[in-house]
Amino acid sequence: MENILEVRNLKMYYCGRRETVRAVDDVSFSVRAGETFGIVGESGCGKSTVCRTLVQMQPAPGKILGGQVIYRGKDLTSLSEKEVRAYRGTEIGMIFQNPMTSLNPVMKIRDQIFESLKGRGLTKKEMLDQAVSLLRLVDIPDPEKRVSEYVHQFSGGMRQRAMIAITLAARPKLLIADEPTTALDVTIQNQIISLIARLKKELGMSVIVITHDLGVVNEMCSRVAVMYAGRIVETAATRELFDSPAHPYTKGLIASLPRGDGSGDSLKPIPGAPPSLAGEFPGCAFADRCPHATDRCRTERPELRPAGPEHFAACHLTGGNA
Amino acid sequence: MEKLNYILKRILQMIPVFLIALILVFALVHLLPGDTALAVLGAKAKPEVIAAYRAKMGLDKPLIVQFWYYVKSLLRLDLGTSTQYNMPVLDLLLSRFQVTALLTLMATFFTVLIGLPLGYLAGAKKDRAADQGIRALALLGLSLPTFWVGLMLMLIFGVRLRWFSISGWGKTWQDHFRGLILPAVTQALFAASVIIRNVRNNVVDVRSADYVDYARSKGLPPGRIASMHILRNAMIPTVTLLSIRIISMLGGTVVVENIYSLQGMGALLVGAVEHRDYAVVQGTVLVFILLVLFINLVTDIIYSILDPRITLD
Repeated sequence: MENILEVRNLKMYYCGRRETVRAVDDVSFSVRAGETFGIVGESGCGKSTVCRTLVQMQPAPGKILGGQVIYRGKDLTSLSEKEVRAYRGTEIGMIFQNPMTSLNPVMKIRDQIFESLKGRGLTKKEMLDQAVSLLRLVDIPDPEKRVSEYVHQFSGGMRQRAMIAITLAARPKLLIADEPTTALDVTIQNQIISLIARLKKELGMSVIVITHDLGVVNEMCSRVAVMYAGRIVETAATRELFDSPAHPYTKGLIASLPRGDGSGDSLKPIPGAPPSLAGEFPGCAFADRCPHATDRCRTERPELRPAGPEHFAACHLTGGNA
Repeated sequence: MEKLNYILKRILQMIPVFLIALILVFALVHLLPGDTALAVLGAKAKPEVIAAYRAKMGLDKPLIVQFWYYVKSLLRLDLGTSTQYNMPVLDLLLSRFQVTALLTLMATFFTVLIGLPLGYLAGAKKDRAADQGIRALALLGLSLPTFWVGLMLMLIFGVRLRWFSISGWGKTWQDHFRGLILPAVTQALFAASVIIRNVRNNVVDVRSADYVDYARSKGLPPGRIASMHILRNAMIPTVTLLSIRIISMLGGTVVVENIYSLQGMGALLVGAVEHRDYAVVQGTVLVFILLVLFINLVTDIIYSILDPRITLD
């Protein structure tokens, strides 16, 4: 299968006056056409930042200092702000974490959909028809009426659906879902997950799901990358990752999940906290929390190396006793 | 339909406010120390003459009855007669109203013209040179007293450069505008400084809102994001503030009209107080109150259009 997106050695640093924060540090991954790719990691590991950087939407004062983002053969990092804008929305669409705050409160849902439809030469009537059928597509009941309402008249789950409809109006080929379920009730979470899965199939999109929730990864993603402290530490097919995690951090993440088998075993948290991304650390970012860390781990940065079929891990101990 | 309902409710809510204001205006004059009859006829008037005057004007009746007379005459649009000008107060007010209305309109126009773009620019360039400069200007605008600004503008643009007239407001519409530019700018400088600071802070807040980020991710052009997503939301709190500033500029006409020798309601009010021309004081204050109520109504209507979340309940 061909890749719709290839990220190669992407570096995005926040260059402040006093210090440099390595938010995205030499990140590489690829997304195949038609697949759902997961990026998983804890808060602040840079998973959202990577995805914003793809379309040059990194927060100020972030600068792309190296690497490439090859989207369907074109390097997006080489484009000007104006050129990359043509890719936002229509090629790479995003849905955000918090549906309560991500929609404009003073614009009707209709008008927020129209913004995505503009430039396609549609009449007002056609745009309205499109907007209604988009709301129907995301299972919003009574779409003819709701299309003319404002965000505050929608519940949380409905807002997330509305945001998906707005993003889909531009017919993106790659959908980035940034923690799409985190702000929602558990019952709604599953609805949104299956909605995204269904739409992906119906519209033939590729999807990147950013999440801290391994359960979401398990349900949605065919392949997954684990991020830690601005770096990718492991990437594999989802099944493979859960069955035989190679990086100690991934093992820790999986071990910290509730088993749900009634065994009563207490959760095993990973001790410690992620390092500060300011300044340089030569070795493995996880070394300080890793139960197996050696001197080499603290001085030499591990590269991603094969750990199985289509399975890579950035650990000196992979294949050894880790 | 819902909007019309909202406006009607707002108008109905104003009736009790207006009634209370009416009572206050009436009480203001009647509870003041000093006898109207004495003020009109002079201290040397004979007691019979005073008594006759009091009977004629209804001043010997209980206050409640006098209030009823007052309301009845208001309903006939009879605001009494000015003792100072010896003409009906209504005619006097009608001739003065346009000066104050035009002055305040122009001052509002300048306030928005200066305040909105500068405030937006400062917010968009937060902490950069433009922001620092505009904030310093706004602070200066807040610190300078209106009467001093008025005199300085007069001195520079009226006396030195002779661009504008410095007193009165002429005969033609062009004259009116030329005569009102300096006083309007004088009024607007303070108000615009308030607006600049408010718009700047709102823009800073809104720019970091998730929905602006989301709008960018849709690939919208910067102009569209600035207008529909940032400014539309940033302006909502500003509307309330602007209406407060307009109302206080109405009060400011008392100072500014005197500096620029404009024959408006502010100057009229000052003169009437000096000469104990009670009917004029009452009439002028009443018109000011109506103006304030009107401005509040317009603000509420604009507010309900700008922010769909607003309902009456």
